[in-house]
Amino acid sequence: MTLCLKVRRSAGIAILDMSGQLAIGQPVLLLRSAIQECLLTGTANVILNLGEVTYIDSAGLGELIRTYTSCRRGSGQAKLLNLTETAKELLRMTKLLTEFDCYDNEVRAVEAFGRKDDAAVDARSHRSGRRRGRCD
Amino acid sequence: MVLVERFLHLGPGDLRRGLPFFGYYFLIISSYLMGQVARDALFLDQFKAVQLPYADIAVAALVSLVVALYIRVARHANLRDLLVGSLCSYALSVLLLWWGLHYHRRPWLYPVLYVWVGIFGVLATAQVWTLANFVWTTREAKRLFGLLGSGGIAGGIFGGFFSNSLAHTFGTESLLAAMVFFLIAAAALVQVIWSQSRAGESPRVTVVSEGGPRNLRESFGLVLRSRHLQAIAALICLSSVVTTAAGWQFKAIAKETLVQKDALAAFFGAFYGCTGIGSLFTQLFLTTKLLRRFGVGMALLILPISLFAGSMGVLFWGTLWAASLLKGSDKVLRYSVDTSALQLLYLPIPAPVKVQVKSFTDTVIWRFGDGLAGLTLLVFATHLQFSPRQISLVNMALLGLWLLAAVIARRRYVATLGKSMRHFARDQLVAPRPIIDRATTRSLAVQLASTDPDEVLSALSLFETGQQQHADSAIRGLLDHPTAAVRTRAIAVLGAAGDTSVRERIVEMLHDDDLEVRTEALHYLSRHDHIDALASVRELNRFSDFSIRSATVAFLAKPGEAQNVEAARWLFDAMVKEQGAGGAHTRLAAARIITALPDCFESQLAMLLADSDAEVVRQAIRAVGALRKRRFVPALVERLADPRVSQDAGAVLAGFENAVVGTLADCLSNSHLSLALRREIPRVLLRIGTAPAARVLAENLLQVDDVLRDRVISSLNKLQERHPTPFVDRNLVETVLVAEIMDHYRSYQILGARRGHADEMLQASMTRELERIFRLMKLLFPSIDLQNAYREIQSKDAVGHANVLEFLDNTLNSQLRSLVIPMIDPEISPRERTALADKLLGSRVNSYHEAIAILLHSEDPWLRTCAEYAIEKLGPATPGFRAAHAQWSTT
Repeated sequence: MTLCLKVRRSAGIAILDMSGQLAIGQPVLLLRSAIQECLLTGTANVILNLGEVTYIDSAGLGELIRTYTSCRRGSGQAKLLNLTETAKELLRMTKLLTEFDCYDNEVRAVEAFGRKDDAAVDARSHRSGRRRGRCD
Repeated sequence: MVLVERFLHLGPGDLRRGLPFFGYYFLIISSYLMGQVARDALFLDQFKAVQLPYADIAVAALVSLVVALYIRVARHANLRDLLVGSLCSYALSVLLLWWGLHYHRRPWLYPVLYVWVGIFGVLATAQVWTLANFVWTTREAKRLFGLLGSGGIAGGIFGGFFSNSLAHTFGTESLLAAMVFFLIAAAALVQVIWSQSRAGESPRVTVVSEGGPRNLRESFGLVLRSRHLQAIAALICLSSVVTTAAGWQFKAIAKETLVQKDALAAFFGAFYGCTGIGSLFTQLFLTTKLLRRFGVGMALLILPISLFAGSMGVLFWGTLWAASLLKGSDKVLRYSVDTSALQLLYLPIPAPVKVQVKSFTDTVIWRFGDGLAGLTLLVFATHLQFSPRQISLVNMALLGLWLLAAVIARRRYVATLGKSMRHFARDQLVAPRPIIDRATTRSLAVQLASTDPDEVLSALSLFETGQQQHADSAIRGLLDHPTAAVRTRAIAVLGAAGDTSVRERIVEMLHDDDLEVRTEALHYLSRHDHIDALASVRELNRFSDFSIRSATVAFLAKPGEAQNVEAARWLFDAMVKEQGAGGAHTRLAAARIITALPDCFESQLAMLLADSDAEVVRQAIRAVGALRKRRFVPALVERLADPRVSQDAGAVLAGFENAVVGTLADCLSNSHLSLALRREIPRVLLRIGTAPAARVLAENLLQVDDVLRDRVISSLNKLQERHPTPFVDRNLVETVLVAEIMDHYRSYQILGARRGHADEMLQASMTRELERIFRLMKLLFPSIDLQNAYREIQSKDAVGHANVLEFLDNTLNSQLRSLVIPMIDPEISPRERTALADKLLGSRVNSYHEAIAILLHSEDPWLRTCAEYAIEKLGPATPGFRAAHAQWSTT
C-alpha cells in the first residue's frame, strides 16, 4: 500500500495533497510525520486533500482523528477537502462527518480559515462541549 | 360438657369426639372378656386343663393366618367398611357358635370357640387403635388416647361383673348371645365415629392401604426396612417378654407366700380389683396430662422405669409386697400410659401402610414376644433353676434394652413426624449464577439439537445467564442454523465463552444475510481478533454504524502497529455521549466492547454506569465485573437501589468477595442510606457466602426495618444450609427471636382490639412475623426441619398441621415451646392468644425497641437476659430504645 503526499503552503495554511491508500503502516506514518513537521514549523491550520485517496482503513481513520486533535492542540484546525464517496460513507458511518469541516472546493476551504465569525462560532461551540461539522 | 372436658384435660369438642370411641373400645373389651369367660368355662367343661396349651398353640398359629388374610382384604377396602364388615363378621360367627353350642353341643365346637375368641381378642382390639390412629390427628390423639384407653379398662371391669351375673342367670352360652349385641352396637359406633371424622375432607384418611404391603411377608419386610417400625416392634416385643416374666414372678412369689388355694384366689381377686381401679384412674386423670406435658418420650419411659424399680425391689426383698409393686406397675401403667404412648408412635406412619403394619406388630410381634417370654422362663427358671427373685436379673437386663428402645422410638417418632411434613420447594435462593460445566453443557446439547428455534434459544439463554466455562460443539453447530436469531445468539454465547476456534466461520458470517448476525459477528471479531472492520468489510452500509464504530475503537485501542489510543478514545467518547435516536444502541455497543479495550477508558465506564438506559447500565456493570474495577464498587452499591439492575450489581459486587464485605457492612448499618439500597445488601452478602459475609449478616440481625431484618435472617438461613458451621451468636439470635415473638403477640393485641378483624396489611405483617420466628428458630436449631414445618403450618391440612405441632412439641425447648406453640395451635382461639399476649406483654407494644424494653421488665429471667443482651448490642444510647425504655418505665 502506498500513499503519495505533497505539502503546499498558502497564506499560512498547509495543504496536503494525498493520493493512494491511507492505510496501516507506511502511509499512516507518512501523514503523521508530515503533520508533525507542519506543527513544528508553526503551521497548525491544515487542509487534507483526500481527492486521490482510494482507500482508508481504521488506522488511516485514526490518523485523520489524530491530525484533527493535534491541530486543535496547536490552536489550529484541520479541514478535509475533496472527499470521495467511499470516504464520505466511512466518515458518515463513524459519525466523523459531523466533526470534521469538509469542503469540495479548495478556495472556499482556505477562505474558511480566514472567517472570523467561523472561528468564533467554532471556539464557542468548542467551549460548550459541542462540535460542529460542515460539508460544503 | 365443658366442665367434664376441663376436668379430663380435654379440649373443646373432644368429649363429643372421644365418647363414641370410649364406647367402641368399652364394647370390644367387654365382648372379649365375656368371650374369654365363656370359652374357658365351656372348654374346661368338655376337655381337661392339660389340653389348654394345644388350644393356645392353635390360636398363635391361626392368628398369623387370619392376619395375613386380613392384610390382603385391608389393601382394597375402605377402613370404615373394613371395620364394620369385621364387626358384623364377628357378630355373625359368634351367633353361629352360640346356635351350635346351645342347640347341638358338638364337641368340635368348643376348641373352635376357644381359637375364635383368641383371634377376635387380638384383631378387634388392634382395630380400635387403628381407627383412632386414622381419624385423630397427633394433637387430638395426645389428648384423647387417655379417654379411649379408659374405655377399654372400664370395659374389662364391666365385662367381668356382667359375665358373672349373666352366666348365673341365663347360663354360660348366653354370654355369646350378649356378645352379638355388643358387636352390632360397636359397628354402629364405628359408623358414628366415621361420620364425625374428617374422612371426607382429607385424602389422608379415605384411602386405607392402596399400594401398601400385600401380605404378611411384605408387612414384615416393611418393618425391617423402617427404623421407626423396628423401634415400635422392639418395644412391643420387649414389653411382652418383661411383663410375662414379671407376671410369673408375681404368681410364683404369691404361691410361695400364701400357699392356700382360697387365700391365693382372694388375694388375686383383691389385687386385680385394685389395680383395675388404679389403671382406670390413671388413664382418666393422668395419661392425657402426662402426654401433653411431657410428650411421648417421657410417657414411654414411665412403665419400664417403674418395672425396673419393682424388679429391684423383688431382687432385694423378694416379698409379696415387692412382687405386688412390680405386677401393680404393670397392671396400672401398661394399659393406660404405656399403651396410649405406644399407639401415638403409629400416628406419623403413612396411611397407605398403617393398617397392615399395625395389624402385623399388634398381633404377630406381640405373640412372638409372648413366645419369647415362655422361652426365657424355660431357659432361666426351668433349666438354670433361677428363683423368682433371680429372674429379676434377667428382667432388669431386658428392661435396659426396653429403655434404650424407648429412647430410640421417641427419636424415630420425631424424625418420622419431620419426614411426614410435605417437602415444599425450597426458597428461591438468590444463588450465584450457575456455572455451566461440561456435564451440564452436554445435557443441554440435546435441547440445542431441537428443531424448534424457540427451544434452542431457550437453551442458549441458559448459557448466557450462566457462567459458561466451556462452549460445546453443539453451540458451534448452531452457527449454521437456519434461524438468524439462533445464529446471532450462538455467536454471542461463543464470544462470551472466549471460544476462538470458530474465528474463520465468524469471519464468513460478516457476509451473512441478516444484519443482526453480521453485527454480532463483527462484535465477536472485535473482541477476539485484531480485525480491522473497515478493511474486512467491503460494504459498510450492510452494517449498523454502532458496530462499525465499536469495531474501529477496538482495533485502534489494542496494542500493535495500528494502536492509536488517542483516536480510539475520541471515537469511544463520542459513542458514550451519543444521545437521540439510536443513541442507546451506540452506548450499549460501547458498554459491550469496553471489556476488550485496554485499561484506559475508566471515565467512559463511569459515564456508562450512570447512563439512563437500564440495558446500558447492565452491560457497564458486567464490564466492571469482568475488568475487576474495585474503584467502581461505590457506584455498584448505589446501583443496588435501582430495581432494574440491582440483580446484576449484586452479582458483580459478590464477585469481589471479601474485598467488598467491609463496604457492604458500612452501608448495611448506615441508616442514612436509602432502605431500597440497604435491603439488597443481605442478598449480596449471601452470594459472597464467606465467613466474614456471614458475620456481617449476623451483626445486623437487630435491624429495625422488618423487610431488611427478613432478608438478613433469610440470608443467614441459606448460608447456614451451605455452611453447617455455626457462625451466629446464639444469645443475639435468642434475643431477636424473643423480640419477634413479642412483636407477634403485639399483633394479636391489635387483632383483639379490632375484634378479630385483620385487614390485608395486618395479615401480611403477621405472616411475615411468623416466618421470621421460624427462620430465627432455624438459626438456633439448624438440624430441625423448621422450613417445611412452617410451610405445613401455612397449608390448610389439619393432619399435617397437627403433625408439625407434635413435631415442634418434641423438638423445641420448654421455654420456646410455651411461647411458640400457642401462636400456631389452631385450637387456641385468637381471643385466647390476645389474652396470652396481654399476660406476656402487660401492655401494648408499638415498636421493636419497645418489645425489648418489655423484655427488660419481664418476670422471666430468660427474657430479661435476652433484653440485657439486646441493650448491650444496640447500645443504651440508641434513641429508639431510650425513648421506648423511658415510656415503659413510666407506664
